[in-house]
This record gives sequence, C-alpha cells and structure tokens, in this order.
Amino acid sequence: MALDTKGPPPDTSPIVIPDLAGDDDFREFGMAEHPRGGFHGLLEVIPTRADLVLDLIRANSLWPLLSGLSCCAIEMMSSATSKNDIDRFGMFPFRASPRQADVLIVAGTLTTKMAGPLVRLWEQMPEPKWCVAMGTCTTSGGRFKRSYSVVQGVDRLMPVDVYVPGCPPRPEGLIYGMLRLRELVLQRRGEWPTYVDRGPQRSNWEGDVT
Amino acid sequence: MDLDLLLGVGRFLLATTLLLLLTVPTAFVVIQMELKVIAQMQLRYGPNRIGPWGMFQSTIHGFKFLAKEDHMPDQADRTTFTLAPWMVYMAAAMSMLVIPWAPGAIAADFNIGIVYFFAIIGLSVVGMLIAGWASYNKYSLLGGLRSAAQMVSYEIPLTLSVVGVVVLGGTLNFREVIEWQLDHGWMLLWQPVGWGIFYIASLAEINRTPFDMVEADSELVAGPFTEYSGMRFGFFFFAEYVALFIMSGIMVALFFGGWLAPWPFPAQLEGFGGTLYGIFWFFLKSYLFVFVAVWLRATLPRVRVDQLMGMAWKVLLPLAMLNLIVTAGVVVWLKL
Repeated sequence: MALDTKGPPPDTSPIVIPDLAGDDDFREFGMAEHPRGGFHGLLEVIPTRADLVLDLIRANSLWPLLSGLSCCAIEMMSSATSKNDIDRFGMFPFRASPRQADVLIVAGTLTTKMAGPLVRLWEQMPEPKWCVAMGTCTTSGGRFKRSYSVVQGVDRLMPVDVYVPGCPPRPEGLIYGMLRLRELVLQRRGEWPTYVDRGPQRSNWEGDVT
Repeated sequence: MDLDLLLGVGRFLLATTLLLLLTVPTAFVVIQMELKVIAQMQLRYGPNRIGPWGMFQSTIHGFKFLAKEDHMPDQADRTTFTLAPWMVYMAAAMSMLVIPWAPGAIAADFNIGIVYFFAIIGLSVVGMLIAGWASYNKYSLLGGLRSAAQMVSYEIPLTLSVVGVVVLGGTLNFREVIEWQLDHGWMLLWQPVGWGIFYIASLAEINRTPFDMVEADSELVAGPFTEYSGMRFGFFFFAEYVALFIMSGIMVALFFGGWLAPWPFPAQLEGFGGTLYGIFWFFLKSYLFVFVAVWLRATLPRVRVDQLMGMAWKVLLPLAMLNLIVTAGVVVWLKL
C-alpha cells in the first residue's frame, strides 16, 4: 500500500552528485549535498541492518513535542485525554524539550512570525524525526489562504510526513494520522532514503501572493 | 594470596554486577507501573498494544533512546556534559549496594550502611548541577540550581529523621535495624513522626510530584535534562525511576520491617527458602510504596518553589529536631 504523503509528484530527473570540497569522507558512501537545495544536504543517519529492529521500536514509541500553535492544539491535547487515549499506541509522553521528541505535530496556524521559532524547534530535534501537519492551515493555508501573515502550508519550511486535514481535525483524526505515520515508519523499515530532501516541496502555486 | 580475600573480592564483583544488571529491569518495571497506573487513575486504558496488556511499552521506550541521535550543544562543556548522566546513574546504582533484600542477601553488610546510603544518594545532586551548568542553556542552569537548592535542603530533614531510628535501634547497619524490628515490632510504631518526615523528604529528594521542581516542564522546559538527547537522557530517566524504587526499599527497611512478613505470616524462615521468602516480602512492600508515589503523582499538583523551601526549613527541620530530642530523651529515660 502506498501512502501519498508527498503531495505533487517528485522530480525524477537524474541526480548528479556535484564535486564539492570538504566532504570527501562521505564520497565513498555516495553522499553529497542535495543538488536540488536544502538545509543540510548530507544524510544524518546511516541505515544498517539494526534499523530493521530499531524501526520497529521507533514506530511504537513516537513521542510528540509539546508544542501547540492555536486551536488545533486544543484538539491535540484532547487526543491525550481519557476518551481519545493516544497513550495506547505509546505516543503519550508529550516531551517539552525538542531534544527528546520524535514527532513534531504542527498544530495550528503557522504565522510568518512564528515560522522562525518553529523551524528552530524542528532543527533542534535529533534524528530520526517526523513531522505531522495537523489542520488545513498547516497543510495549505486553509482559511488563511492568501493571507499576508500566514505561511501557506508548513511543507514550505520542513518535510512533512503526514497531513491531517480538518479545521480543526477531531482527536480521532489526529490519532488516525499518527497511526498512518506509524505505518509509514514500518513501510520505510530499514530502508532510509539516501538523500534527505530538506528543500521546499512546493515551489509556486497558482495564485500565491509572493 | 589469601583465599578469603580472593573469595571476598569475587563475591563483591558478582554482587555489584548483579545489582548493576538489576537496575535496568527495575527501571522498566517502575516506568511501566507509572504508565499503566496513572492511565487507570485517569480513566484511560494506557499502553495496550505492545505485548500482553501493553506490558513491554516501557522497554520499547527505553530501547528507542539507544537509537536516537546523541546531540551535544556546540558551547557545552564536553567533559562535564558527558560525565553528568553517568554520575546520576551511578549514584542510584551504587546506593543499591546496601539494600537489605533478605537475610543473607545483602551485597555489602556495612556497619555504617545508613551513613553510606545517604552519602551516595546525595551525590546525584552533583550530577544534576553539572548537567545544568554544562548544557549552556538558561533553562538547564535554572533547573540545575533549583535541583541543588531542593535536594540539599531536603537532605537535612531526611537524614535527621533517620537519626531517630539509629538512636532507637542503636546501630547504623541495615541488617541490625531489621533484626531490632523483629524483636520490637516495626519502627513505624516507634517513630511515626520520623516516618512522616522521611516520606515527605524522600519524595523531594528523588524529585517526585508534588515536589518535581527539577523537571517542571511548564516552567523550565525539562530542567537540567533540556539539552540531553538519546541514551544520555535515557540514563537520567532510568536513574530517576531506580531512585524511586531504592527510596521505597530503604523506607521499607527502616520503618516497615524490611524483609519481615506482616502479622499473620511467620516473620522470617530459615535457609534458602527463607531468603526467597524475605525477597518476596521486601519487593512486595517496596512496590507498594512505588505505587503510592505514582498515586500521589496522579493526584497532587506541583507546589511552588517558595512553599517547597519554606516547608523544608520551617516545618520539617524543626519537627525532625523535636523528634530526635524526644526520641533520645525517651531512650535515656527508659534505658532502652
């Protein structure tokens, strides 16, 4: 079963590894800076056979980061309460420190002013990490489409693994999204992509205010 | 070389290895208890996907830390940053050396076991402090200083409340304290005030709710552990829960008769079966108090910093002094 998590189809043009100075140590592993741009370029994690087991463990212990931006955050909190118990899947301890979290749930409208701190939080999280865009504001801009102050989809800033639509999504929706993330982790079990594509995945949409 | 010395060294190495290995399953069991018991108290199911009744969830959480990226901030002090989790963990593991599990099952039967225990368990504050200082993060530093203030303050009533037990039992050896309780009944009956002070101060000493000022995640992101990721944070996490078990065990040994069974059962048995019998009762009582600590966490909110410090210095310390003086007076007066 294939999960559509990328949005538009990926660029399939052949990847040419540019001759960059200073990364000769990684050359023999076929790694270099991503030719289509990005924040890091190099692969942070080298997959080994142990990842077959470790990914099974990671999939069952996804700790979200305790960060809420607006109304979706209320539903995110609600997903940890008695009726919608996200703790059942091992996703409960909402860690307050990004260093100990696995999943960044972007819950709520991301304004341009908050974009910097959020990207900083994302970069502070240690690998392996995943991102869940919760609510229409974070997937595409939603109600704030073409607003001057709102980031039109959080996938312009960071790679998103799962999009959860809804305004706001119900807690069941978030739990379903987290379970799809779990499936995604199991699908990529032991097979990490050679390149970590950190570039923006949508360059320009029709009607974007630029 | 002397055969007795060789045997002693071999026995010591075996005991320390076994205790060090015991810390990991202890941490897993206590974390699993915390997950499930709090869930039941909040009318949730809690983890129920991994293994029967979700009983391996804490193991999964623990092993995940092994594979997380081990991050160190650029400006961190590398030596102390690396040393801090080791220190906190070893403080918890080393204090297991004097825990009286059962008759004949004590790793090191010191004549100053109580002094050793309170000296070693107090070392974890150094680890917390250098973790906060070495991280180069304002929340870490605040958390580290808070933990130093809290743990040093509460160490005084904690130790003073035990002095009453020492005066009454006339010994600093855990085994002899338990043997005294075999003759005279549980220390709880003789030292109820001392037990109350010990319980409150021990909760503060191991940073449990209602006194979890160290890892107050609504105020200080995660206290001194803010910049720690991967297995280094895992060590802090383990040490916290191992310390909870150890404090419960020491309280059982000092006030609840250690390995002695309660009334309708024979207090202790002879031989190897007696050792297993003692271990059974010791673990039962210890995990009962671990359960009570988890129960308190599900019930009580966090106290304020000034209330916390005020309680240590204005209430617990005078009470502990009074308890000590009255105990010593009674012991001298009745020539116990």
